[in-house]
Amino acid sequence: MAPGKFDVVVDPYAWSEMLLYFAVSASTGYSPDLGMRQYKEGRSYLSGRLGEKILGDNISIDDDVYDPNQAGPPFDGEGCMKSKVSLVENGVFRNVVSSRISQHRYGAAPTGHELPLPNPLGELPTNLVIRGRGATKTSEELIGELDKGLLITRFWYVRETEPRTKTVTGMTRDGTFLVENGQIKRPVKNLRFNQSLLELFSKVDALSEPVRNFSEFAQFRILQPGILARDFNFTSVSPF
Amino acid sequence: MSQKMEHQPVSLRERAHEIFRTAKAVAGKAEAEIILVSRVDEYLRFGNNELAQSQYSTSRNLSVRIASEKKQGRVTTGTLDKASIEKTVEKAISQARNSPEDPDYLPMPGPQKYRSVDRYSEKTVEAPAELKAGYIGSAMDLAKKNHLLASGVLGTSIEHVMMLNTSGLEASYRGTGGYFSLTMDADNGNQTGYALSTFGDIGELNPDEVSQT
Repeated sequence: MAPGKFDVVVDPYAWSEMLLYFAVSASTGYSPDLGMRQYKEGRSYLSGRLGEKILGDNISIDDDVYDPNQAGPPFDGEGCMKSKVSLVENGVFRNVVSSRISQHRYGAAPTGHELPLPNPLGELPTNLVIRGRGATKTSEELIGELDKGLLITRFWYVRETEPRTKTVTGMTRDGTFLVENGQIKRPVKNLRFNQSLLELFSKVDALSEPVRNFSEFAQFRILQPGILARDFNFTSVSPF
Repeated sequence: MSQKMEHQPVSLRERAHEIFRTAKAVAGKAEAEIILVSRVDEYLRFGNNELAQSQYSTSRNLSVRIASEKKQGRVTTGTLDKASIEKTVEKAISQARNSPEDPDYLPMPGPQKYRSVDRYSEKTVEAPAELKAGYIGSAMDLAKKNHLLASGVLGTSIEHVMMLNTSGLEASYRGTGGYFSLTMDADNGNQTGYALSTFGDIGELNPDEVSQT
């Protein structure tokens, strides 16, 4: 199978190593992106972009430690209570998280997202919830809506290659399948991808119910959905 | 073994206050903050349709922040006897003294109100290894029936956090979590399938659903 752009169904557990790059930049030592200090200092890929459409209309991202499926303490690194923050609403970048320091420096209302001090990096949303608009679908329903494309059950070796566009590269593993007319037809060899998360989440047609991620970054929890999306960019095919 | 015997949140709170008294005595007039994190982790690992490893680990880590004259330092340790705690606080004091002054330094926050979260599952804490091994056994049985090899991990964890500072703040949290990761191999590893399920309460885990995926 030749590489190229494919419509895909991504299982909700497939990208536990991938979606953290919405909120941190690997090229600067996994520094957080969605905090007020980074935003104001121009260190975030989203600096100066509040109010801008960055994802599709059907995508919203909150930081919400109180979601019943979330985990972790309801207080931040200096003991202040966390608030729910709407980061992206219907594709529009709405807010960053804040802290007492940002209140002091910029007059921003603190949201309880400080890391343990002293903290030169800035604030971090640790409980992302990624949701679609409207009713969710099961993974089987998402596959059923895929005319021709690939079912991805797991990504790994995911690395950030372009922090401004949130482009990441990595491989599929443990089951990549060709889907035709809504039916799984056959397994295919693993593929390498090079894909901007911002572009991908601008081309999502349907989503499944979010599940709790499993991450090596133990303090960074994401409720992540599966998706049916268009034009996922695969750049090469593995011999395996 | 269940994880209950090793995890005693009440004693951790008492331990945190005891450590904090020691820290304050060493810190003198400086501001002090401690974060004490206790973890209990249990993993059952299996490979090629055989149970391979049972790992059980506990840890308690202390992080101390000292602030004085707009300078601050933080030092962490996993050794919690009194002498080590005193040494840790002394190091934090030294680090603070040698740090540049932060013109934006804010005094540590006082007592806070918190919205409660329910993240602690007795079922997860009490789940015996036999129950977890049974879940894995079901996955292996299904694998054998389909001429496949099952490999993976069933892990559970308990986390308890206590935070105290000299402005009177006290925050605590306890939660449980876990995951069941399963890979099935066919054709000597040339074809694999993967499924995962995460949970806070082990009662939410449907091992058969994971296996059949």
